[in-house]
Amino acid sequence: MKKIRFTLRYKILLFILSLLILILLIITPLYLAKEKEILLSNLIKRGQTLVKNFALSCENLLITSDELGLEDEVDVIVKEKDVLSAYIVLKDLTYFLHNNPAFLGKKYLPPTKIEINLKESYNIILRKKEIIYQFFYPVFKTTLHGKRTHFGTAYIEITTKFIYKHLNKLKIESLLIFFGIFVLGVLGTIFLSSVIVKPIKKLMKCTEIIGGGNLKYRIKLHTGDEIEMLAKEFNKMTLRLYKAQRKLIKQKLVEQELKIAKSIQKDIIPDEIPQITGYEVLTFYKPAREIGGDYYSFIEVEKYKKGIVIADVAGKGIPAALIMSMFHTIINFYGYENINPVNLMKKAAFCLSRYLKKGNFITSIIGILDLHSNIFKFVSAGHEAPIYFSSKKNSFKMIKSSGVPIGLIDEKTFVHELSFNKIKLDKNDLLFLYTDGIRNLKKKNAFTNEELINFYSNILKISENSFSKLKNKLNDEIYSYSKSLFDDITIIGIKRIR
Amino acid sequence: MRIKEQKKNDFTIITITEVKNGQLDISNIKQLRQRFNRVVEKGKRKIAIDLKQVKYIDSSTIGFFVDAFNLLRNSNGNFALLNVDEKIIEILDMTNLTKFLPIYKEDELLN
Repeated sequence: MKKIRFTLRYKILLFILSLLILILLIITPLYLAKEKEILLSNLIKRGQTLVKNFALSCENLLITSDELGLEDEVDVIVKEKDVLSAYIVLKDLTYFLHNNPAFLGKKYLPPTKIEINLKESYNIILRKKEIIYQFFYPVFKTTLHGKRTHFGTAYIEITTKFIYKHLNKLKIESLLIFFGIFVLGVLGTIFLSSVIVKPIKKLMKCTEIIGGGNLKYRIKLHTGDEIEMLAKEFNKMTLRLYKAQRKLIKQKLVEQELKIAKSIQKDIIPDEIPQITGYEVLTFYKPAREIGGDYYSFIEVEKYKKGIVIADVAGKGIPAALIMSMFHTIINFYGYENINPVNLMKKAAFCLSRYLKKGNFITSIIGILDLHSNIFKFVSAGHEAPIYFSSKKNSFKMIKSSGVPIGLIDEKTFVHELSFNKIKLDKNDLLFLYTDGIRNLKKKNAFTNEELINFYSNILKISENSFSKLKNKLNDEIYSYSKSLFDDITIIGIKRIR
Repeated sequence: MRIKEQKKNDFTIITITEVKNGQLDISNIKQLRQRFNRVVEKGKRKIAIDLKQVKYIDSSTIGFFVDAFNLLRNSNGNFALLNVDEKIIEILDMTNLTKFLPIYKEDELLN
């Protein structure tokens, strides 16, 4: 099997981890930004409250000109968390109050402002690379007469150093959490993909076994999900495949047996045209299927007596072929004992009647051609009547006999109906023995006797009375009716040539 | 193919109708054989088969006719074929079975 470059496990891993990283990359900065916003907003609120309280306290203290109180107030404010300094600047921009006494009376130099927010009363200033929030609030002085005049501005500076420190700490913590989730994600994904991939791998292994030809193998998967369903469907498919394979094997076996049967039958049916002194002989044998129920045979009874047998077992295929081979055995067993055709027919009927069941029957002609008298003496068991062509009269004739088929009527009647018939063959006379396959050439529209005679007359005309041409013409003519034969066809033709 | 059954005098007449291409052969003879056996099982011993619509038969049909004929003859019954086409008579004649199988026109049988 081809090596897979990206297994399903890796694909799942990659997918889930990408998703995880994406989520964390979005969430972490958002979280940090929000945290920063909250901290700064708290700082602003606190700063605003502190500066307002500072300013109002100073206002009260200014009424009584309590300088010590003012200094205490500054000290209290500066002790507040993150507060760097607190001071009051007078209208003429000199320091009135400062937590660092060194500034007192000195000129106030406005620092570099990054942002001025008058509405919220603060400035963001940068001092020694430190971001500082400078809150301000106006201070009024109330005279003894109760008159309020603008005195100066109270300032508080609060550093953000600790906020940014805190945020950095948070960043590191986030990274650690991020890493933790990542590790957990990898482990989880490996586990998850194992859960999914394991049955698939099993399924793959099973299909390899089945693909290797073991169609009896069944996949046992109990995952309770789609993969189990897939395995079940696969098992069903394998079963169907197995059945189909078995059927094919059986069919092949039958075909093989049929081939053997065909070769046996080929041995039964003579493959050489017999030499009969003074005669030309033609044989034509075509079973409709692989094997058939038609039969013919030539028996050397004496030097000047040639036995000719033709038979047709009703039906086609193997059953007919079986009966046919029985008939062949009987004919050959008794045929060489110089037995007369009537007795041979009786023997055949006697032996075969019990095997011919439910309307099965055989029609046959057994005859002897006497080469001295040129008389063909024959007996028919309900077989198609021989067709005789008289050269002198240039006419065809059907020679009908009285016999009935073997296997239909009781033995006594069968024997009673058997009778000899004979025909003398003059020079250039012809005689055709045949089975009813010719009559059924037009499939379900059987030839009448007249049409049958016309068929032979026509074929003779086409082949200009030549037996050697006749066989080929016969083949062409027969297949001109239909590409496939409907019934077995057998024809024996004899022509007296001197 | 459809098979009808009717009684005329003491004969049960089995008529074959709607026969495809007029063929009564190995493809449908089993149906007729079964119907015939059922009639026999009912105790009928005088049975005729009307072949008015049949134009073609094969060896399995011949086998059935003779079987039916033998069966009824052995149980003192009567078998007959009615309205048989000329072509079919020619086929039956070739086997010389016309000598045994009683073939009638319908009115002949009833008289």
